[in-house]
Amino acid sequence: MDVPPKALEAFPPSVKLICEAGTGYNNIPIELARKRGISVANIPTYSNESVAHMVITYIMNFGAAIFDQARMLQNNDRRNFKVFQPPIYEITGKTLGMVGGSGTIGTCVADVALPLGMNIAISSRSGKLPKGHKYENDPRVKVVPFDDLFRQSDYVSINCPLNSETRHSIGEREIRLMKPTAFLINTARGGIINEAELIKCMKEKVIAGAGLDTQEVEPPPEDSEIWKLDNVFLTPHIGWRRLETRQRLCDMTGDNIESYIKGERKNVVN
Amino acid sequence: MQPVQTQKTMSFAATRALRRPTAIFLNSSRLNYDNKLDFTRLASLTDLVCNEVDNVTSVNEIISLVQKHQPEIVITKEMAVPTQVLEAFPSSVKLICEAGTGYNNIPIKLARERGISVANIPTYSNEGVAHMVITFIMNFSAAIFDQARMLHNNDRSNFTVFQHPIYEITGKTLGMIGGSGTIGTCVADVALPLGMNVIISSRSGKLPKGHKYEKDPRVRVVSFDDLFRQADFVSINCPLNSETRHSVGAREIRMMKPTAFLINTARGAIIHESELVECMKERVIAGAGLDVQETEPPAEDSEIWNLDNVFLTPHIGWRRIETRQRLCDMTGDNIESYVKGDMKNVVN
Repeated sequence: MDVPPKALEAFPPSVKLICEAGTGYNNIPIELARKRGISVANIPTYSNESVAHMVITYIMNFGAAIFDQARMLQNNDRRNFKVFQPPIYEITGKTLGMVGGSGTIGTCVADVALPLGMNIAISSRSGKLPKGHKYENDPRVKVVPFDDLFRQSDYVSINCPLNSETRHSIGEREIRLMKPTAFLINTARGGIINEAELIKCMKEKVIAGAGLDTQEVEPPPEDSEIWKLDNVFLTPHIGWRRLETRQRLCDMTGDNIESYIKGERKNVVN
Repeated sequence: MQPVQTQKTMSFAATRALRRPTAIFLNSSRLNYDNKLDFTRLASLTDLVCNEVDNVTSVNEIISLVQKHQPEIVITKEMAVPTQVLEAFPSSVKLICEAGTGYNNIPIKLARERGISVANIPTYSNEGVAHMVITFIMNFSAAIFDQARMLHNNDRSNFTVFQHPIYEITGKTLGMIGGSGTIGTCVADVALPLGMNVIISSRSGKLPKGHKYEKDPRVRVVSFDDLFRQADFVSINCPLNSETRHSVGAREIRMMKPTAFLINTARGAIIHESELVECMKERVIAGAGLDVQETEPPAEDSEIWNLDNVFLTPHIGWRRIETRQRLCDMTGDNIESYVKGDMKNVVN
């Protein structure tokens, strides 16, 4: 929730701590808060597996054409039960490319993608995995240049933060580098993908499908064409919504408060 | 019905090394229904005739096909070869290759009496099937089927207030009926990194000696009934036989947690389907994912089609393209070993 400067300036002097029950704190003017003697705390990490497992869910579904099958059954079209229509593929041996996948969520994805038999390609500005990275010495996990990730992957997953560098970093150019049988998955932030260019590409069937748990605007505008594309599946930013994940947010907010009361500065961002 | 002759010329050296017996694939479209498979190896090992249909039910048609081509090898895919047909096979037939694992469709004792070997492919799709179990687990946890249904009805209310309970997978319990076999082990290979605990029912009460997870504290053998009581996801991973037929019904489902899900990628008849339908109508459990059904497909008017807490897939565990190509290639392996006089995967 936005806390505009005007609101912050009108806070009574009783306010000493603002707790964001989540990770991002772009919504709070943290420098102004510090000037007014108010600490701002966040929860840096609480849902790595929850988000990572949405990536896996999309991979499994695209591999087995589940969204296509669901659509046909909803239309009372049972042809798949006579002659199976959509192409479906094994997951073993396929390549998962993670844009910015060397972080904690990307590592959680790899924890499952590797036992599924996948190879992993990661793009990283440094050209290599961080020292001490869990998969630093694993031959199945390679760092590749950004463009090569799009060319080589069967599944491209976005696992980087949204910032001025990554905003709209994936658009028509990147999608056209991908294999026509490949799938694009976004569980990170909608603004990383140039959505208008994605829609154009999906209408042209440049790639086989896209699974988006985040969109540029959430929800997308009523009249956006993105709702109508049968090769795009949308979920309403559910990576964090699992019940246990939300309960953990409550409990970790409690931890932040407890540490504040004890005079410590846990998770203070200013 | 048009038998199609496919022939490839072998290299001279190869021709000297191996003879090329005539083979007829009685129902090649059951396997190659999308025409995307590569039959080159089969066609180079044999003088191959493909009957490009899904199934031949007429006894006379099968007999006439086989008598016309006088094959040494007959290839089938889940196609009944009745006793009457086998008895009318010409003496040329020496090998029946089932392009799959089950061979209930072939009277193997009679075949042996007539000097015909029957070969199968015991294992070719462990991951293909295991990964369908994982797919159902991921989807039920995140209420994907419910979301898909709403979106197809142009109902976007989830994007304003999210309607469905969804859960983390970490810490949940997967119960596998008969899960100590190869497919169950492949499921565990992924379920454990997903953070699940795994419980298995086994008649012996313990994992086989040398089992991959024998010493893993996250994998335990429990009693049949306890599996249903404790699991968040129950997956059927046992073969169909007289003991397991209809072994999962209303009694077992009513022992499950109301938030639990039932998954079947094994054989439809292990579940008592009409009892399942009743339980799902009553919402005894949260959902069922069935890649196999008692009859495939279920009867047109079966209530199972209309239950919003049941998701059906048309036995796709084996249908991934690489899996079907592997079936072709391993049938080729069986044929090659037969031609070399060194029989492989013979079941009679």
